[in-house]
Amino acid sequence: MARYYHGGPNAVDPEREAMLGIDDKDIDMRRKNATDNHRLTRPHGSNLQAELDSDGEKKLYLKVPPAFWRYNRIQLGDAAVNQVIPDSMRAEWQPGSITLALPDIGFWVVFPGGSITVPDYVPVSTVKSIAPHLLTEAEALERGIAQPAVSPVKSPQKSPKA
Amino acid sequence: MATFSFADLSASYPTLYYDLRPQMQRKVPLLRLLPVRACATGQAITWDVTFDGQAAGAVNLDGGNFLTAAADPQVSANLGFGAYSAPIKVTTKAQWTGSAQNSAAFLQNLINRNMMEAMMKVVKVINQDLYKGSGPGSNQITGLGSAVASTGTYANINQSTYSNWASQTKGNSGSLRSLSLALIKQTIDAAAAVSPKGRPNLAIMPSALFTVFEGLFDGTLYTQAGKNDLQFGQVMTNGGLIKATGFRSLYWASADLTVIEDPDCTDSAQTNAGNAIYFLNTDSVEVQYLPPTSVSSYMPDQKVMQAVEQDLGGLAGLQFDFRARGRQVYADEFDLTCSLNLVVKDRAACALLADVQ
Repeated sequence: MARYYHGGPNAVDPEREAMLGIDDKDIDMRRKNATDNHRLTRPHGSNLQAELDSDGEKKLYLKVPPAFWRYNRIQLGDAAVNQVIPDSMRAEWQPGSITLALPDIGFWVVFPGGSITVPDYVPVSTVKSIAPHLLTEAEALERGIAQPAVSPVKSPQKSPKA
Repeated sequence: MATFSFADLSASYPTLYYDLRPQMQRKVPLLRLLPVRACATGQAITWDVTFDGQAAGAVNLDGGNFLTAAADPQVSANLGFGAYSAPIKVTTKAQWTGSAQNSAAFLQNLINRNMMEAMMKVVKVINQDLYKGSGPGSNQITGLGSAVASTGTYANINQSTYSNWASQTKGNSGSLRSLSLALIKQTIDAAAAVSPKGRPNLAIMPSALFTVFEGLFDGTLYTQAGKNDLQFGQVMTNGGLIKATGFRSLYWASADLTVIEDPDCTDSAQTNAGNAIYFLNTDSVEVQYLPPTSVSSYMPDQKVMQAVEQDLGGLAGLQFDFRARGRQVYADEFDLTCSLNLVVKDRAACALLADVQ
């Protein structure tokens, strides 16, 4: 499994994005996109819903795309119906989160500062083209977002017997 | 039992046909644009996909080694059918009173109007499922949402086994950004680089995005769709010319891209389902239907078919089965049924641009 990290608001550099523009208008639009929209808080408003949980705290949920819903198959005699599992229709959301949708594989919501694991057979280029704000482990280490793996704790050395 | 197509109806009931045809055009742009043909492979739609193909290279004729021939590299793709039906009901009372008050023509009109309305409903559902259908497991078409994707299994071929069985997908982590011509060019270029069939030449987008897209151009940068013969108001498709009334279209000349507005366009695998644009290669995408059983005795009037295709595109030839149920109550019930699926022969020839507004 490959680990990907939330790249934070500066995961996509506006100036680097602007360099890809084809003319002044496009350069400005790209810079603006990278500056405004990469604050990572903007799924379409109708995709979010707020609810109060049992403690009276407000919680935000993102509507999960229908292609990723899970179903209970209920047999009714010879026929069978698929009943959507309600929990699979939404996922907890925090401002600043980003999503990764890989059809047939899975749907992830990555909280700010969080990380996810994706099967190894999904190429990095695929993940990056769908979610440019996700960083590979190497990129995250380079930017100081992830900490290097801690070396295994060794058992205390026994003091030599006198 | 009888088999009908839109071509039949246009010949038999011209008034009704011309009454309802414009509504069809407004409703189902994608279904009209794609080539529609009868499936000739039986129980499932099957075709072979070549990923690597044969090897070729320079050789040393002066006693050098032969190149190594590749083993048969083709992989079999396999798709089932979705099935759609619209029932029609005419009560005995309506039949009797209708016949008494007017004439038999009234009754004939009643049934045929019901039949055409049912056909309109069914093609609308089919057009919606061309995008969001979840596959034969749910008796539905396998929609573009599954077919034009960078991961997952389509037509029984798994992308994790064959890495090239993928469409280029450009998203933005679920965060909406402004649509730009450069973004579209990048997406198409990415597909062109790996496509076995050249660049995508047909873009489908929802109405709101089409409005944004139109705004990206100066009036002089695009021409009306119909480039090959410069006939205004018509779109050149793989299936021939169709009338572009009831939906917007434009032809982006330098990108060789025909852009179509379809209100049903959606991608149910995206966080922002209504903010996606499909780029299709029309050599790679078609609709195949399962011919109803009476098709062998069914001989369409070729002249009418061709005339109608100019208006309706491939949809004119799509065949429906119209069959009466056994009577259970004082009403006659009929089912209008069609079985078909969308076929994307090469996933890599198509692309998706998501998270744009």
